[in-house]
Amino acid sequence: MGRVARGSTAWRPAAAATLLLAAGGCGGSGLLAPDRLSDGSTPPALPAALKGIEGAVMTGTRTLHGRDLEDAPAVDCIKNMPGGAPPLAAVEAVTVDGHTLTFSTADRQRLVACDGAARRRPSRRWCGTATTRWLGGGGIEDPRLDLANCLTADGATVAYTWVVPPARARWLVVDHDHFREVYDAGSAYPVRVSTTDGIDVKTSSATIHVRSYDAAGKEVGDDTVNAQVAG
Amino acid sequence: MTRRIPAPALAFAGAVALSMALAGVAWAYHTNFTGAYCNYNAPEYTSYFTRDGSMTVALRARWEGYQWGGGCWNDDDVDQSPGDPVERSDTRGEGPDCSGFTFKVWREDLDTSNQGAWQWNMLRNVHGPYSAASFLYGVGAPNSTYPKSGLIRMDALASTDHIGMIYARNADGSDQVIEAKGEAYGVNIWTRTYRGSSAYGGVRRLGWDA
Repeated sequence: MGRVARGSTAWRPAAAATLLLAAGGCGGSGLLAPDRLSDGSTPPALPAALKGIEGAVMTGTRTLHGRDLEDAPAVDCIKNMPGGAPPLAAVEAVTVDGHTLTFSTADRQRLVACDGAARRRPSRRWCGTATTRWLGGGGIEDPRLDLANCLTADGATVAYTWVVPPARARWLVVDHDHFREVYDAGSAYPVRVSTTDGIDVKTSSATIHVRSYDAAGKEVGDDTVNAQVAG
Repeated sequence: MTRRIPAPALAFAGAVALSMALAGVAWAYHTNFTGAYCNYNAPEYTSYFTRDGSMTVALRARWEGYQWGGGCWNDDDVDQSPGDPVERSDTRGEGPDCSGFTFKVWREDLDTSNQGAWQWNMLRNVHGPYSAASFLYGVGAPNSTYPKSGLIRMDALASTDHIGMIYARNADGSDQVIEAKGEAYGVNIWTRTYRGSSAYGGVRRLGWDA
């Protein structure tokens, strides 16, 4: 009995290692798409054109207009923002690590984002905000990395930054350590992406790898974004 | 004996230089002040920190340059990297930006949950995790929003785009503010009416010993 027990115990690490290797895809990518977004919802289906991307999860994106913007939590974000008049539209994205709201000021001179996550240090609905000048042609002055205050339910720091999609891009695919996250890039605004990977606390910066795809699923961009907290 | 450089190597070097110039890399590094002079040495923990001490830290940066996302300067009262493109964090110039300046002067921790104080050397290149908007909303354990009417020296006034620290208050109600103003201005003390502006809120660094 004792021998069997010892033998059984001795086998556990080996069995676990085998399972880990199998789950990790020894010879595969090791990527596994999360089955939930940060709000607990089931991710939307991947666009048909991107079905072949391994370990990919789709973010939940919707555009808010009119009355949508008068409801919480959007109104809590908008009320404190510069520009006075409320925006005409805002893009909300629910991601694996958090949620964000991006809109332009009424004069279309500035972009504003509110960033949210499961946990934040002060007890506010949003844990971060960012604003930058919105340049002609859709560009921005700075990606406005925000990593000061938003945490996942597990306590990991969430970083947010804007990514300007290249021309013709319909989708952005952001690499995480263990999965890939697909963003809808179909709005006029830059895309606010979130991650818990690639953050360097020492330099208050984050490095994010982003590939861009057109509506047919053809890759139209492959960029590494180095964003730095500033201003 | 003169050593000749092979023609293919010269051609390659020329091509690289040309491509970098075309890509704008040459001006992106302009003076490369941070690459030449700055470091990532560990800061020194300090168990006692005062507003006067932070004033001293701030004044060392006076007359120095401004770098978007930056946090490294010397104390020679000259902007070593004037004319960098604005709002580019990759230009490697001298000086802090407004929020990096505040972080360093307030001697804060990179860990936003830690209220402790650290002495950052001038040439330690550090910006810290806070933007002006983060300070405005009192993000981080060391920071708190504070009524503007009660602000005193070395407290700060912040908007979503800018932050400056109070150096002194003027008789007319305006403030002398020490701040990293912008690429064209560097770090200095200016008279400001931020306190009366609805865009600005009061921020206080917590934990001063005096």
